[in-house]
Amino acid sequence: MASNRSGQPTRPRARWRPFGVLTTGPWWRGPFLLLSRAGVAVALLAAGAIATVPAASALPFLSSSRSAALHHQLAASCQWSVGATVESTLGTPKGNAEDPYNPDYAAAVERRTEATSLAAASVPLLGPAETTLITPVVYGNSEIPGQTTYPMYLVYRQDSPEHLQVVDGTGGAGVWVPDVYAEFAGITVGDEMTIARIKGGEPTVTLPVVAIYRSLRDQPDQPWWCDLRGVYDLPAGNNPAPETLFIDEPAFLSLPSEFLGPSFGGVGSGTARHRIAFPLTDLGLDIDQARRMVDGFNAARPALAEPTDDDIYGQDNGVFVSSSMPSITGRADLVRASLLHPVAPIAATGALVGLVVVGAAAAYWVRRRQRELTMLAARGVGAGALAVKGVLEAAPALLVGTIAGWAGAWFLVSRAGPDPVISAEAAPGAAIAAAVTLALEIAVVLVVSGLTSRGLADQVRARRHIRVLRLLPYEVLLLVAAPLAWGWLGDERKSVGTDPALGVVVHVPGRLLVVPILVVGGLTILVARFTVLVLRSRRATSTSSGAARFLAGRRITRQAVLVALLASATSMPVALASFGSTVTDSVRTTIADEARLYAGTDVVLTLRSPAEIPPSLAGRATSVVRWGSARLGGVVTDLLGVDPDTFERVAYWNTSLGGESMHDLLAPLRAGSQSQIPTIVASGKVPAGVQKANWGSRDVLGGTVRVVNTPALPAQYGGYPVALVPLSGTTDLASYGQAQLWVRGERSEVLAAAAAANLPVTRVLAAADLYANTLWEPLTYTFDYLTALSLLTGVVTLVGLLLYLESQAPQRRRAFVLLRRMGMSPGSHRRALLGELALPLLGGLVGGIAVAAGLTAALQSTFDINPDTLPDTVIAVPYNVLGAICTMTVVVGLAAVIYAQSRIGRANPSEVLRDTI
Amino acid sequence: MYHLDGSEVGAVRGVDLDLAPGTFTALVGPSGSGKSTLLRLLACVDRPDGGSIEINGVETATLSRRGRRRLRRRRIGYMFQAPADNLLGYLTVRQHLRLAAQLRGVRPRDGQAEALLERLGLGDRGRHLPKQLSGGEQQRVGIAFASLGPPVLLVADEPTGQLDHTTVDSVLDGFLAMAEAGVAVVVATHDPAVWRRAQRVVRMRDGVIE
Repeated sequence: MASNRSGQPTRPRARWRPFGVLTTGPWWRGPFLLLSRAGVAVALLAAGAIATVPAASALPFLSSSRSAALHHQLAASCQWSVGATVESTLGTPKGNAEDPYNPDYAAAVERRTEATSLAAASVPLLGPAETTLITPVVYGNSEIPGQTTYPMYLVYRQDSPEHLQVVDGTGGAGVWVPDVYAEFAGITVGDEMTIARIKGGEPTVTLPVVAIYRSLRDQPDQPWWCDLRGVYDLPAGNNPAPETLFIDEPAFLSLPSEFLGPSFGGVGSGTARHRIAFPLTDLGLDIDQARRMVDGFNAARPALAEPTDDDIYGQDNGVFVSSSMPSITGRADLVRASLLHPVAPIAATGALVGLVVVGAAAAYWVRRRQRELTMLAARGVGAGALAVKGVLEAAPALLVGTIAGWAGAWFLVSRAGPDPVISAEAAPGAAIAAAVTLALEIAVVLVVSGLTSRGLADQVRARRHIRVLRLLPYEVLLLVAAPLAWGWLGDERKSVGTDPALGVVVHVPGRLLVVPILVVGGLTILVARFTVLVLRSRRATSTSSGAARFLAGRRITRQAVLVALLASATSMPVALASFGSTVTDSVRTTIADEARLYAGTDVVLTLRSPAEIPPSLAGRATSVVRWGSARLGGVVTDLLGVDPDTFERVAYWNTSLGGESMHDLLAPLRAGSQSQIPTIVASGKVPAGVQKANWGSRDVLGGTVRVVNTPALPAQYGGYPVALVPLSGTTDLASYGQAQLWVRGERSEVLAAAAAANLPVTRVLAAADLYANTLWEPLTYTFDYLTALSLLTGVVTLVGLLLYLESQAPQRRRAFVLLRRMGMSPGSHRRALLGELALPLLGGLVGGIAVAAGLTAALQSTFDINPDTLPDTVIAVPYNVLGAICTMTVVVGLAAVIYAQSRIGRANPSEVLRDTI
Repeated sequence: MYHLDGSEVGAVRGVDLDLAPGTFTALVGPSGSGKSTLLRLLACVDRPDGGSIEINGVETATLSRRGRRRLRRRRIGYMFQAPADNLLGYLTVRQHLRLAAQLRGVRPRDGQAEALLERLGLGDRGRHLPKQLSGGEQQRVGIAFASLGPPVLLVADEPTGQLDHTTVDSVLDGFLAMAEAGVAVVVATHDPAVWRRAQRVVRMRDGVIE
């Protein structure tokens, strides 16, 4: 070899190519090298997935929430109303007085229907037209005492015979009469019924009664008839509600012109209507289909509203076109927009936690690759090139993790989200979010592995490391930020769309999510810092009896930072999951209880007449009679006649409402029969003490009662107070009141039992329905997302544990080889391992639950999203979630110990001694 | 000076040592005498808190981190005690030399690597992975890996500590070959076989050269 004049060797001209090193083995083989480090690969993969799931799930979740809002509205809507309805007023046809039927009328109606159907054909998802002809209110004869005429509508509806439940008669051409009216009016099949346009006036028509059908008014939940609810189910006011009588089309079109035309003589009002309704054929449609349907409807609207020249449609021929789909779609969009407030911080926090885990995984990669990296650093490879090596090695695992996280996000949202339907428009956004997360993960790996690699060579051991910056408790900033965020984020709970007609939706105030996250983060890190100091101070003094305890104790004190990290990794998700679940359950319970208090109980059935409680509902039902507008001490009050013994079991009650149990509250009603002045319980502004009590001109309980006042009672409607009176003392008024059956249970199950028992149910009020499709609706979606976050945080714990074990494996294997030679059994070492893990895991578990309990105690007043309604916050401890977390922690801990011991136990002494592991 | 758990440990003090090109120096002394620290300082793997270290006319003690890295890459070879620490298990012998050539800025196909392998008795081992080599062969590959270029200084910390006597000689032959090529070779060792063949023996005790 040549040398220069000073004797030093010379060599060919050096040419350093900064990127040339990337073509050498350690770099180009990088993507494959992690295969030999399965633990690190799994950790990186899981960390990548953890970071991706919250980021990639946000948009699908919002889409799922919107789909849920859409579907809930559609399920509660009338299929004809959400489709399209075209209603034309019928004018006075030019008839012939002797023979009013004109075949041209039928042809005109048919032409109108065909033209409308043709215009509607361009609107997606609309079914075939259903034609209905409705007269204005007309009057039929009646046997009802004091009421010789009775208001009614004559209706022709295509296909109606197939959807009416015939009680008597064979049907066919003629008039179909509802059973309740037939009974009142004394009408039977075969009678001739005379119907007049105006009360007792002319003209009249006479039609044969061919069928008695079960009144639609007495049959709740009649989807096919839903668009006619405004006809057959009008509330009764001072006048009786009109009955609905069905006739065939020729009969309808044979009616005298006065029956169809507008008012005349100032007596008969209104005009006949020709309604053409198109049902929505797919109630499970997604938002894109809904939008296409709305666009199609808006485009077809002018054609649908085109008036016709046929005479039957009169001179002014008003055409009304409607569909509730535009407002339903708009409200679904509003729900999505309102959820951005709570979902964004959750998703950001989740992604941030995931990136921290990715950073930890990168640090552990450096640790596991320390030998190789140190060798390369000693040969002059810089931290940048080592960081690139880290990225190349981690990239495949991160890529797979990101894809798994993206797929997991879709799976999680579609399975556990508010609705399984996720619109296609969420896909690109979710993919972009996943890609951005992957880029951030790579950046984190680049930075962490680069920074960590800097210390592998060229260390300045002589310099005292001034770690003041490290010692500063930065986490206090999080704790300081918490109250600031509380004030800054405010208590805004309502979102209003640009169109006021879309209404209002309520969302969880952002501070209820952000502040706990800040507090949990700050507190956990602060406690971890304190734990490290305590453990380090006990390093020299820790003594334990028994090899396993001694070993565990020494390892815990020697690895104070890792122990604190593991405890933090456990406590943070446990605290967030516990708090999130508590908020979820408490808000749901509070809303549900508010609904129960409003309704009175789970389900309230209004009956046409009092009925016995069927055996299938015995023990969970109570009979109630309700009288409106009674007067107690001069205050307008609704009276509830109750059976104290069964009412206390069935009615919703919460001791926070009045400080007493329902049993104690009802005690005066039980004693009422023995008292000289009956005692009743009243809510609100009803004055306490002896008061006059009457309902209309009738006395209640003899006219004088002693009122015991309580702040609230079940079933308070319309701002009027409620008074509970003993049913046994009000039998004289029973026939004037509204008979009800209050039942505990699910709506569908209760209705099925009521139908099986032939209860004459006319109305159903279910507490569960009260907040469905209302402004409270999106709250539940947010909670679903919180639950998903809880699942995610559980995975974080698992990955943290894996990282910890993986990082410790080589040292433990070396140590166990020596310990085994010193007589330590595998079982004893397993116990030491268990102790080493048990302390941080249990500490994290207990600490996390304690933090969640503290947060709950501090913030519980804000869990009542509807503070204007009683009861106030009802705290529901999520025992199932807490149980699952504890079980998961124990199972993961045990499994990790067994796994670690199985790996450690396989240590080969020769490998350890030659240091070739 | 080390700072360890709050106390200061003087690892190397007042050392004055000159290593000439083309010499094989053995650094001997009891454990804790400062041999490894001195070698790490020489190899620019650690930085001293005082004093001066000049390599090939460059003052390294005050050199920037980047400059020291460049010096390590171009001018210094460093060998750890364990063969496993010097080699990458997934690279063949030839791939190690290609990596070394890349780091040194030497053209991989200029024949230097082949010549080096021949000189170290590894001519037929180019395609083998480290696990297919004996301990002595692994250390000689380590020498080749550290010596390609060649460097002006080759530093080895206990290179024969994990080898049996039959393989030590082959490793020492490697060091001598490098010294003959003009490289200043310095080796910390407890092994009498090493210091017997070294051209110069430097003894250390308590951080001081005796």
